[in-house]
Amino acid sequence: MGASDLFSKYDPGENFCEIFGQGENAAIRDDLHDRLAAYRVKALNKRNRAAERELHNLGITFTVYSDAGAIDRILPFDPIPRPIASNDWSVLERGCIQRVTALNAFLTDVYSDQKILKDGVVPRELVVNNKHFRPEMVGVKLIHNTYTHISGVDLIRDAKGEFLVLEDNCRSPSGVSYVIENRHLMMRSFPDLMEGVRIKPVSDYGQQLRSKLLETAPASVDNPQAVLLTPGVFNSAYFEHVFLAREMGVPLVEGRDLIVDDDDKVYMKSVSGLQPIHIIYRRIDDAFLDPEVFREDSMLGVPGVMRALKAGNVTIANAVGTGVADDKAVYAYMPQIIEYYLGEQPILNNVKTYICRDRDDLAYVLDHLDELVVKPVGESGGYGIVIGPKASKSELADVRAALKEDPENYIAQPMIELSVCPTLTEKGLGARHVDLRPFVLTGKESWVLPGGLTRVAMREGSLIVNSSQGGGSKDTWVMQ
Amino acid sequence: MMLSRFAEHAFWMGRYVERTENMCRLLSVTEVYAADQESEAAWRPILQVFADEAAFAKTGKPITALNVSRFYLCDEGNPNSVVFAIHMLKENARSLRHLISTESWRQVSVFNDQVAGIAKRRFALSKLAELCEEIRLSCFTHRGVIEATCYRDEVWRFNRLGAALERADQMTRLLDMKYFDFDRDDDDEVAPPDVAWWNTLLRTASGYHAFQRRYSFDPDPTDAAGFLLFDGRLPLSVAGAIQTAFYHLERLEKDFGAEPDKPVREAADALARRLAAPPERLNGRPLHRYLDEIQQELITFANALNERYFSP
Repeated sequence: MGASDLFSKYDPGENFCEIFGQGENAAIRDDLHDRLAAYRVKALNKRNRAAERELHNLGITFTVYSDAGAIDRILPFDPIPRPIASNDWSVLERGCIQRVTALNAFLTDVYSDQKILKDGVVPRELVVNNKHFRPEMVGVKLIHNTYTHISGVDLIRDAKGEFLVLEDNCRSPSGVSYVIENRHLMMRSFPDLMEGVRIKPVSDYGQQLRSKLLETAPASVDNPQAVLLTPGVFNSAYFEHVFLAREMGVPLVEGRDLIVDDDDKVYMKSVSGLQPIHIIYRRIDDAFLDPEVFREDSMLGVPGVMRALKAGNVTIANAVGTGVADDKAVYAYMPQIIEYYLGEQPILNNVKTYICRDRDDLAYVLDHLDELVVKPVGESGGYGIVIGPKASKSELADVRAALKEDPENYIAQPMIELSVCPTLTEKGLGARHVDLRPFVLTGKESWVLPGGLTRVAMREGSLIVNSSQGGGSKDTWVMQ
Repeated sequence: MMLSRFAEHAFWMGRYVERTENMCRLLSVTEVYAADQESEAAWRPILQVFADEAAFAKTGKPITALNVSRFYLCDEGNPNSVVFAIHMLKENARSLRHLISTESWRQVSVFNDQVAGIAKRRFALSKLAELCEEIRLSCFTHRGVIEATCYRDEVWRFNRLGAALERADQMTRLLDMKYFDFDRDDDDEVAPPDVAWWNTLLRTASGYHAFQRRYSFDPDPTDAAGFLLFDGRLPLSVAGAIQTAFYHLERLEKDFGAEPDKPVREAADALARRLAAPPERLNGRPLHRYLDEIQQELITFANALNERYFSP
């Protein structure tokens, strides 16, 4: 163990450890251990504070607005990397591509022939009554049938070390900027820790994104122009919008910078007059995208952009209406969806999910309420979730009543287990829970950014990795 | 191909930095020169130059060195203050982040923290010169970072155009400080500023030594005014700044096809004509009137730019 005091208190308990659990990959484990053993707790903390200061100065931040004005906050950074062995990664990569391929096939189908609904594989009302289903998209043909150009697949790892899909994100998955910036920060601030490690690079994400988007440009255009559409500087993810526009080399525009003319084409207002636009990577929700079609009061959108879409003059990424595919109830059917369109078994399994509209599942859920996590479908951000083992008697009674009243609105899952990764604390390395969000880009075909965003719950024992609740992030190393 | 909005943000980034730098010059020169004067007489001219007498009166504080310099350095409610200008610099830069270098954004961000820190600290008067110097240094750093790292595209051109225009405008204000009393309609003789004032002003405009080399015998205050107004080799001169602005406009047209429209050309011509016709003697009321007219032409020019480039 050498002179290092880093590991003296490290204890992953029953959880799978992302470094020490790498049983078949002892080389990774031992190498990382030896590298880290060269540091002392105090020195490492000091260097990490300097690294975080640099994040602040560089503006790699999310902005919180309050009465006191704009506050730029950083996502807490942990310098201990999260390694992924190359054989594990090749499974994840194939699994993510399989999943996104199935999601795109599903979206193509539900917005055209709806065969999967006619065949009764997925209940019709689950789709057509879904609040994210956009009837305006029915019959609209998309280039390469790509609906979700940018997808995030949220993965967790159970106590045995199996990766499981917790959630699909097909609307506007965020966080990719941290993946690249974390890597750059590691290289700047901890070059000694990284020296000679062979890991897959991540810094070509912008080029990949641009070329995947260009693959989906309207067929009639020779020299397509893409833009990134942001709600503006007040959006908490504005840094990421800046980052992506910069990495792709495309203008970062707001709704007010674009117009759709009577010819159903999209233009941006430039100093040299109106310039045509063909691809919009939008980071605003469907509801705000086009006040002619969706919310009339939207100040963020582009009036007429849906007309331009239907006329085949513009590509919108991700497509309107993708939210129906990352719905929690549809998630439960993903194994069937993969099999229906691809004729394959899922490479990555779901977390066990009970669909409360199913009578047997509902009976099981009602019997085991105090062990399960009950989630309303169609919500995101943790809204409305009841965690059985932590809920009070009255909360359990309430959710029991709600389940009986409207079972179709709920799914339930066992308490999820998250793996842990050694994480720097003032007292040395502590075991903290992590998840993983790989990013999948799809034009004609799919590509997966090696690794993805590793979010870490900085508080001991916490399972919540969200940045809004004290979560931080780590560099993710896919070993070559 | 650049959005009008980006052009406007770049233009205002340039303006706010120049405005900040000049404000620090004004405060420094006033402080140095005020050492042996009554506070109010020395500090009122700044308020006059920025037409801020009414706004300052609302603070309910007497015109003292400390109150006026705090008003212009730290008062977040004062749109002419440094803390406001640097906040606006950052907000404009924020909207341009994907088009400016990361080094530029980093500098702006650190600069804003620095100024916000000063504003929080309620500094003592003995610290004023030092603070102004620190802020000016950050302005120089900013210009250096932009110069050294930004791609020479329309963003950069509009940024430099805004900076040049603001510099010309601010220099006329700096020159006008001691002439404000000539605005009165009565014919009372007002004593024009003396050699000591001009020496201070030349030093503040980083022009004292060059002026000594250029006019080695019998320097006359009107020579100093002419030097600060017309010597294109002096980075801060009004004529130099206006020439620079015209140059960037020309490059915008030739390199990027952003040609000026008729009102822009007319306003530029009118400004050039006015600049080329100074009064016979650069002193007293004629100088004040002349400076005032140049400011008016600069405003007309800026409005024409706004109409043409920023409001499609």
